Amino acid sequence: MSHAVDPSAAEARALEGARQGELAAFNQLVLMYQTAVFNVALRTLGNPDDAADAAQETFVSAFRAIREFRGGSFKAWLLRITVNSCYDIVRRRQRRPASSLDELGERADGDFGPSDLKPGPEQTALSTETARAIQDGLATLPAEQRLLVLLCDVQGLSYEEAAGATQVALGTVKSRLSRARARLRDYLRERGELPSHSRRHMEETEC
Amino acid sequence: MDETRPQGHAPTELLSAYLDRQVEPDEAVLVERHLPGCAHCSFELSDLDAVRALVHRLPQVAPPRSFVLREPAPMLRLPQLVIWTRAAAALAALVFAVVFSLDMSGLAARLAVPMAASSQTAAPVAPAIRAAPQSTPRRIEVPSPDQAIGANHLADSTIESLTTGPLAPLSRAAAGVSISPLRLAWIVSGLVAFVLIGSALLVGRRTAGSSRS
Repeated sequence: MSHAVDPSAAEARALEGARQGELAAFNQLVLMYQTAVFNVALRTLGNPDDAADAAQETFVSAFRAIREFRGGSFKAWLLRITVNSCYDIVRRRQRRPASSLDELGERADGDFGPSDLKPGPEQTALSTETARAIQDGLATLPAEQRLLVLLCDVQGLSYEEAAGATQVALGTVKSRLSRARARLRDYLRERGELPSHSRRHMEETEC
Repeated sequence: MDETRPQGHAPTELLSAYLDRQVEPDEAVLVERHLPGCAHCSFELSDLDAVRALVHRLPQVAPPRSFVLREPAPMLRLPQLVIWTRAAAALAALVFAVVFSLDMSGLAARLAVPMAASSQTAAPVAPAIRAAPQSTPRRIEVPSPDQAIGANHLADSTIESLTTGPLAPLSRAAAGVSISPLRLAWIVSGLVAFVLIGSALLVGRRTAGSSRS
């Protein structure tokens, strides 16, 4: 047993307390995940105010529904609520039901100043230009593709967890994520953020 | 996109899923056999991997404020509500029991004289009490129903002005049977206890229902 605090053990303890209705224990979980929740909402909604509203609603709903959490990844469960909160926000703003995720995409212009970007603790800092390019690239994606990049590649959810969070089949996760990555690859290459392996050379290579 | 690709290459979707170890074992074997001889697919795989890594390193934006919850959500306050309602019901029942037994025992009778006197001077009920034949300053311990009804008839004519407020029936009864504040106290506390016990049961059932769902 190491004396260092094991994050998963801390999460398990906080979850246990939260399920008993202890607000303080639940708030431990809020502190652990508020950055992830806010960032998914921010890149989905494209607006910090809406994202903050969505994040707050996510935690309120999560606290109310905490007894329904059946184990597995708490982060995945929370991000599923986040996605729903984002839908709710868009629905309320538009006063009509969002017929598709693409309506979310129209709002996601990715217009955050570079000063908003703060490296997370585990991330080695990217250059501002690269970060900006990735951000802009994400904003060009169709909303349902972007959401899967956010869940799988940014937040590290498994395909299965992402399928649960977005209510789509596993195969859909696979194909949307691959299309998203291909689009991002093209975008980043155009911006000079990916080493280009001479596309022409590749096409000519015999297999 | 894939249909425009040269024949014989691995589909992007397969390579993308392969990166995440989300392919069937036989698909993985297929990819691993294909890659060493195909620069196109190797570049494609390394590009997808680079994109994935870049996105993963995208800095997170710090939230503008903390989303820590400050007050409990309503559903989770219910257990507390149950506790308080039960405590209040128990207290009311205790008050009722004490006051009731005080009233029924001789103890209260000895105290009744000053109390009845003060109740006569305190309210407009006083004339009514004087008018009623039974309402002598000394309290009647357990008035018979006949006496009470008779007294009510007599009192009704004089205290019509009192029949408006919510406590009108009580004050009429008080006038009629020369009720002491003590008796009023146990009647009221009995009613309060009854209502509180009822609501404690109701709230308890709602909480049990919500925690099951």
